[in-house]
Amino acid sequence: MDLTIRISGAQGEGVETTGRSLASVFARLGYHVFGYRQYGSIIKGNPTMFYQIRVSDRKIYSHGRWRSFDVLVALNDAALAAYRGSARFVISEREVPMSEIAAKHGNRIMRNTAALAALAVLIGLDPRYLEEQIRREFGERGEKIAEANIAVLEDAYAAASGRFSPAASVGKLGEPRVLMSGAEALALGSVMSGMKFYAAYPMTPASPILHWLAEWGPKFGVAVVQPEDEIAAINMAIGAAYAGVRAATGTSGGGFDLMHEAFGLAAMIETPVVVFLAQRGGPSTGLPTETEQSDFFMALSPAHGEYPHAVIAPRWIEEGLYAPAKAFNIAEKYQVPVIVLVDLYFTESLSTVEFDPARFRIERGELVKAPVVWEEYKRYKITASGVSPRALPGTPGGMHIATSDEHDERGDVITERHVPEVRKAMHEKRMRKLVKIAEEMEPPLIQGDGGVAAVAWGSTSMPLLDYAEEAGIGLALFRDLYPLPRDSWVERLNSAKEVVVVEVNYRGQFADYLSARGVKVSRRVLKWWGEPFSVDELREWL
Amino acid sequence: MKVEVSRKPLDYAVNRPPIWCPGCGDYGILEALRRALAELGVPNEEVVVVSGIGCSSQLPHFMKTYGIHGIHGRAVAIATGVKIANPRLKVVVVGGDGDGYGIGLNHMIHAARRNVGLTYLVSNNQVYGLTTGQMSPTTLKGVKTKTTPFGSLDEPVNPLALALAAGATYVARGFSGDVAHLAKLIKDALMHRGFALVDVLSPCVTFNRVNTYDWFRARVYKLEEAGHDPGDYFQAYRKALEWPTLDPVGRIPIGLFYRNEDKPAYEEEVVKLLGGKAPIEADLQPSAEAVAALLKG
Ligand SMILES: Cc1ncc(C[n+]2csc(CCOP(=O)(O)OP(=O)(O)O)c2C)c(N)n1
Ligand code: SF4
Repeated sequence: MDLTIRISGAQGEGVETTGRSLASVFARLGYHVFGYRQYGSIIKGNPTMFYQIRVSDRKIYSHGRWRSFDVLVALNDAALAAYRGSARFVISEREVPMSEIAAKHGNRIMRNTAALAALAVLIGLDPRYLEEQIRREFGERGEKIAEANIAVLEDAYAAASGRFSPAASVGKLGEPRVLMSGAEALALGSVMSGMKFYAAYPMTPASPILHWLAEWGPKFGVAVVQPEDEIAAINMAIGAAYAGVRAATGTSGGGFDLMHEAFGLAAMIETPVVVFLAQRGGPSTGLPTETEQSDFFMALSPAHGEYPHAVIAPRWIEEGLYAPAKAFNIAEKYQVPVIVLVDLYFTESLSTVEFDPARFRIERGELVKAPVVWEEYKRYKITASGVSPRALPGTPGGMHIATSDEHDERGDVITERHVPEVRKAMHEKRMRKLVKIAEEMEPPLIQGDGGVAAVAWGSTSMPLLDYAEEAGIGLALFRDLYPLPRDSWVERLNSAKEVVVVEVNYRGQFADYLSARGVKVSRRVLKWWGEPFSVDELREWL
Repeated sequence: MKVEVSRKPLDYAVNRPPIWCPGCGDYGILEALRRALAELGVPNEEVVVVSGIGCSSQLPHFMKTYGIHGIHGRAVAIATGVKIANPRLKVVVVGGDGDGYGIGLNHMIHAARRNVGLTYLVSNNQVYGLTTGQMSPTTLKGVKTKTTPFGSLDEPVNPLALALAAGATYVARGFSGDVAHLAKLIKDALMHRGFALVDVLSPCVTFNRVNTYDWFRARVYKLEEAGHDPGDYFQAYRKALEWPTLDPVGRIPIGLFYRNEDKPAYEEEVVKLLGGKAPIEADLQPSAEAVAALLKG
């Protein structure tokens, strides 16, 4: 079974909650679920926003198709007109008087419940599962609202039963699955990875990370701060990291623009900090509520000057749970800033995931905790790996200064004179870390050699995985983007007949990047108008 | 903080001599800070001195403590992170008027309203020193600098009035020509619960030929000798307006303008929210129960 349901209506009228409720009903029944939301930068309005819920009995990675789907639930005429042509089945006021039923029980807003009842008839879902969901959602807010919604559910189910015969049969499949958004995966993953400080200034599509942490963080000892701007956010995170806790910030392109200078500071003073960079359409304010993968070049080299850092782009939502552990481990072991590069499609989509608390391993790197002799301690000692043991404030004898100016092994500033040998040695020491970090970077996931190899990074992996399952083409999906792993992946890619790089930007940034490393890119499939790729588009364009 | 007896100012010194011009006001700030720490007997490893960029921001290099010499204007933000992560540390912020009242002004205002437990020492020399003598946000109107050859057109900011308006709970002004007095202000600031601003009149002997030691000596008077009540917010505000707002050429009050110990510090409230443990003390990995509760909710 593989069903795609699009719920569409005006923004601010409950499309979101309806979509999310439906997704969680399926997840509780043990299905694999993916939820994708398209919306605009407006609080109330935009009559054709939608939530597309895909449910399957097999593992799925994406929202699937874009141009056709199984069921349209249209909550207004505009939505009906916009999407009716793409749907096999339609549920609207014409089929079931949803508004009327809802109004009868007190409030028109409950027509979302009526819509779900009609959907239950159509897909052969026992309405008792919807009832349970209603109780879970409204239980806390009062029995009355729950009861009113259940009355709507019953009436609408009866009305729809006369109108539709079940086109599917969605019963209980297995144990409930955990459902979360990409943002929630990153947030939970960070908490599981020992993050204890998060400072962020709201910006779509990174805000949901902050929201989740604001609610749940304190229960895990995580201090969450909403500072005055992004500059403060990253600088606070750097301060907290210097003090010895795992610290991060999160933002989107415009906010990260503001963070660049401090990003370089972190690299220079060798202080581990993690930045969640959630891309949206740019430049400038761009497409605030739509996805893009156009900040790759920026992530490769944000601040001025040269310095070591790492970029990791989780490819599917479940991977978003575990990517923070890697990011924090790399950050702390190599004392560098690390970017976790995602996008709106990733942070805001919902997916069922396997959450295994045993998979989180914390490696803190070389920390000096026992007292040291101050006269001898060199915070920036030149070492073969480039990493020097880090003393945390409070450690007797470990006193040192972390300076943004070029400095010597003690951390003392050297810039009042010209000392090229110190600069040379220190710069080399820092840059050397990249060699070691590269050894920890994973090669791309390469699947099925042969004809066409479709190459992608980050969230574009999601529709590609689903398409490859159907089409049997080869794949190379990159998570660890910088520094690139040193492995035979270039040769493996070049052995494919055609290498097609698929990404959501105009220039083909990743294709350029791979070309510069000797990959023979035969074609670029690009898209830059605010949507992720879909399986049906890939079928056509690949 | 464990208090150790008999520390001397030089216990906070490094072997390296400061690199400021002879006579620079920053020497006075350095000496006063060391004295204040010595008098309180704060262990060296429990002090973090955070600065931005500028001549005055070099100060952490001359302290035998932990320190971050960060980027221009961001010291208060960095220090906020340090303090929240580990509230047991004494976190001192130093920097110039350009650093703190120009590029970084918003951070001061927000740290003040949050009441983060920082001791913020601003070396106010009314000029950009390190970049060789341009106008700063505290340059008096009409003063000629490299970038205002015909006299500054800008009204200067009033940092003390701003800090009071923002909700700072300890607001003082010192003079680096009176180290003993300044040391006392810093010492009290270090003991203060919450955000403490000590604006320091600190002559730049190289680029500011107007606001010299003599210029200040002829004008400063001590609030504590003038019957000022630092518990009176409105009186403090009135005093803050005296210079440079109401009387740009006349008398300049120094000393403690305002102190309020009743407001909890930001980091105390964070620790309360976190169930009593600071981030640095919390268990690294979440407990199984916490994870189970999360999955249920
Ligand atoms: C983002 C940024 N802009 C500009 C500078 C150049 N800069 C360095 S110090 C400084 C001003 C110094 O004046 P102030 O903060 O008053 O400190 P002082 O040197 O007088 O102690 C400037 C503009 C910089 N380092 N970073
Ligand atoms: S230029 Fe001015 S502020 Fe800088 S060290 Fe010299 S006297 Fe001090």
